[in-house]
Amino acid sequence: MSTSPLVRGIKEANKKGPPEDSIAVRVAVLCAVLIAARATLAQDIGGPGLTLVAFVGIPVAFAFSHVWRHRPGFFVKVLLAIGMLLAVFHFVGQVRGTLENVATLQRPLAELFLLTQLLHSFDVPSRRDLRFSLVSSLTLIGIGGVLSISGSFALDLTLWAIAGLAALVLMDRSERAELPSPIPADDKVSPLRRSMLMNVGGAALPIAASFLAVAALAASIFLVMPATGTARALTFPAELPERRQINTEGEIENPTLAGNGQIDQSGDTSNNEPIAAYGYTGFSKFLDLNARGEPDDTIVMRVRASKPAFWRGQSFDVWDGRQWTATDETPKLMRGSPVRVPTRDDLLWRSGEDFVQTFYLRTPGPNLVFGADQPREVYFPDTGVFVLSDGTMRSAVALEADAVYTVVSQRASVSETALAGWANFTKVPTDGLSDDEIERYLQLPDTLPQRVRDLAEEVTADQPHLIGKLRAIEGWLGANTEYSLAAPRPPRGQDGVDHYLFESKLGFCEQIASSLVLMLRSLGFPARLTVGYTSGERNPLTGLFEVKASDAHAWAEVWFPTVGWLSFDPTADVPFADDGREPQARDGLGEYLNRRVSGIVGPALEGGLVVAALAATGFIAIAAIRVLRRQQALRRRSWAERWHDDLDAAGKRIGRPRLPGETARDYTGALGVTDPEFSQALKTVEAAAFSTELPPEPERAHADEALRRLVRR
Amino acid sequence: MVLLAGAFFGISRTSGAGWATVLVTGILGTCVAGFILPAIVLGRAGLSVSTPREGTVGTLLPIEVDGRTGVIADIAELGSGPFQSGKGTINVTPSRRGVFDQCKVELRTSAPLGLVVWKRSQRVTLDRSIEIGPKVIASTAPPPTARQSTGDEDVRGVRAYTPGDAMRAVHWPATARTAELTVRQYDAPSQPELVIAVDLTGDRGAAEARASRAAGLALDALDVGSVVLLATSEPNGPVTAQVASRSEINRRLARAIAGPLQIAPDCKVIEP
Repeated sequence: MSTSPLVRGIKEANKKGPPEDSIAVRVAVLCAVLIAARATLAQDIGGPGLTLVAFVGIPVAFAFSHVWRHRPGFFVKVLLAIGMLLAVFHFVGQVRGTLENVATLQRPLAELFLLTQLLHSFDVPSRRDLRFSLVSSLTLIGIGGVLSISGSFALDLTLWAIAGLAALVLMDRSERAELPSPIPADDKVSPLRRSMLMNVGGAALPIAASFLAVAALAASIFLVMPATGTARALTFPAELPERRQINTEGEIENPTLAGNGQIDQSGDTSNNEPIAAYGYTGFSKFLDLNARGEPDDTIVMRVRASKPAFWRGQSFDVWDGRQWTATDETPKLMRGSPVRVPTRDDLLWRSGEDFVQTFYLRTPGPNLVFGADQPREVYFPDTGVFVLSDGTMRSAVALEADAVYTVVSQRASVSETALAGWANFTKVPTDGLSDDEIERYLQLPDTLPQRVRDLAEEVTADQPHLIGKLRAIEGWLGANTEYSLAAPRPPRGQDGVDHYLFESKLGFCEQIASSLVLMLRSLGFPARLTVGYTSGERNPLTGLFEVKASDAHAWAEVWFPTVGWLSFDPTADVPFADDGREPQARDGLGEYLNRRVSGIVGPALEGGLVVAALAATGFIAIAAIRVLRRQQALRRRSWAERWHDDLDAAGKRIGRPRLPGETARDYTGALGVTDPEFSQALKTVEAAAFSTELPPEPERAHADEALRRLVRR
Repeated sequence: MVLLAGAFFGISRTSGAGWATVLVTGILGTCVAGFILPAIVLGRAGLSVSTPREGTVGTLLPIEVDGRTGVIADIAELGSGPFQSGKGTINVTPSRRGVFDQCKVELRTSAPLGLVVWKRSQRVTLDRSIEIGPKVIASTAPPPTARQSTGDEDVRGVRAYTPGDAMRAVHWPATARTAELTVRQYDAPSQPELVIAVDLTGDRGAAEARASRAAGLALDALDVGSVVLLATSEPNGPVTAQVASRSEINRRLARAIAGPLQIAPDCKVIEP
């Protein structure tokens, strides 16, 4: 019965084949496996024990495989099967009782695969087995990539790619080296040595060419790949490096501020200054618009999300002319795994898709649980989370570096166009809010100057609906004020927003957002000031948003009945849930490279020039040494040897090189030389070659002349 | 590898891991490179072949090849088997008798990554024709001669030994006197001693066997000093001519084809 080509191909690929004798191939595969193992272990997989076992055991296993390759491996396979069973039992013991979150399986699975790789390395006698090892190293590096959240993985991936491609090239050359090869005319290398050299010699160029080709193709494919998505997430990571209880009442705690985010009884907020360069005064109970500070570019967290969004921290509701206060004093402890955040049932414009965000904290910070608006579930590495009425979430434990939690939001399914059409269905602006909320979110201090209210009326006079009024205010602010981090403080007693709108006209996010909130409130639209972080810069390689301390931001949230609270900010694009196209993997690539390349182009150019100069010097030196050696070799050769060299060169030029073992006499006969004078010349050369005395100079000159005539002919 | 790429793609979409996307692009890039690069290598590959003038079926024959490394070549017509392309000498074992001006070369490569094999055949013109003679099958009976040796041949004289002379013709007394190897010189026979007619018509296998036996018979006859003529058919017509060396036998039988033979009517012919 004939089999299909596919079945034949699979059988052919799985044929065991002879043992692989090439050490170069084994070394290349070993390097790929070790690099992949290192990349996996670097993601906090296992501990020092597993690291030692991997880095010692795998090379030993490869060496054993090479030595044992010609012998039957039945008993080895039995021992490996026993080892595999033990590894599986260990894995089952690790994961028992932790199956409610798939994320908890990631590290034990990675450990199990690493042990499998180690055991497999003891039984890789043939080229096919080495190919399997290479594929399993691909899986290992993939595990490392899935778990990695930093750009440092790029080095591991690059080194692994070079080792992997080198292994493929060397395997291909090894397969060809099993076939006979032409013997060059002047070859003095033994067939065995030639066979060994074929595996390594000259492989550098194909490896380099392959790497460049693969890199170019991969980069091209990357430009059209869709972005990573977490819409159908299977894992919801949540980890705490150390559980340290900081409060039991749900109050805000911010160790980066002098006052820990609290305020003393006198109401003096001057001790709320940041004590860490990445601290932000807005993550506290009060937000003083007179406070000045500039958080630096420390990366405070990385966020895995399919789309950019503002990462909301908390909101403020009461304005007193100088500072905002969050007045909600009744945080509720919500327990569960995951924690289910209370949501409004009357909101109609709710997206059917979950928006999953995983936060990887890099620095200690406030006990605020950040997340996109409308959080629905929180996977938090503690028994519960405190939730306030405005959606603010706080933890009872300190959020240190390396803490991880996941928030699932169900954002309002709106776009700018949809909101414009929403006006046809608008209700009373405060519909859906409780009396307490109406009071808080329409609050205006008595000290607010009338001109602020008048300005709001004037700017929005020709806009009948909320979204139009909102955009009109944003437009006016953009046209009539300037963004500046060096905004002057208002005089004592003057309202900060009034000073910004009518006198300084210089301000940053806090002044701008506060102005928007107060102007909307004066028109009867509930609004509140919210602080958090902008989405941060997207790292196109990791797919994570890298949020810096300088991304701390304040913006306005505006109530849209039946829609919910929506964020608006004239200073930054606040992305709506349904706005924009499907994200691509290349999003942010240009800005990312621009920022990094501009910082390294200069030094790279300088370094490149130095390297080029060194390389050129090296090449010239090598070439000079080669010329000198050749000349020395020529000088050492005897007259007869040089005569033979010239004869060989002449014959090669006419396409008839001398065969191995062919004497000069036979060779010239094959070339058709019958001149008796040349026969005499041959006698002279043979005498010079095989006797201890050099023929006299006239005879040698005669022989040289005869050769010259032959060459001319 | 494509399956792995699909798996990692699924992982990147469900876990949000950006590096998984990078890995997918790398795997796909490797697959594409593994598919395209061998085609480029093969597209630029060629092989030139330089052979000696003659060879024999079943006997190692060194040929010069000059081709691109990374490619596996096979010159089945000359009995080479797969070998690595390059520049130098390769030993082939011809399996077919005949005169070859061209040969079919099959080139294949999966270089540099060894993932996909591309193949191509081309006809290569040899720089000179090669004549492959049949494998020699030694005859089991003594070679027939038209004239039995009685020891009364006309001896015309003696002369110095030249390579090829039969040892039985050495004149030992003269050799001892002159201290140089000397042989008897006989009068040339008035007519050929042995004509071997090589009929290659009919079954191909049987015809090749006849050619091989003819070669063995002719060599044996030459060894005993007979004058041998081969009657063969060549593309230009029947040829009956003397052969005086192994090389001439080889070349005549290499050129022989199935066809009519020309034999003088007064010859006593023995068909092998």
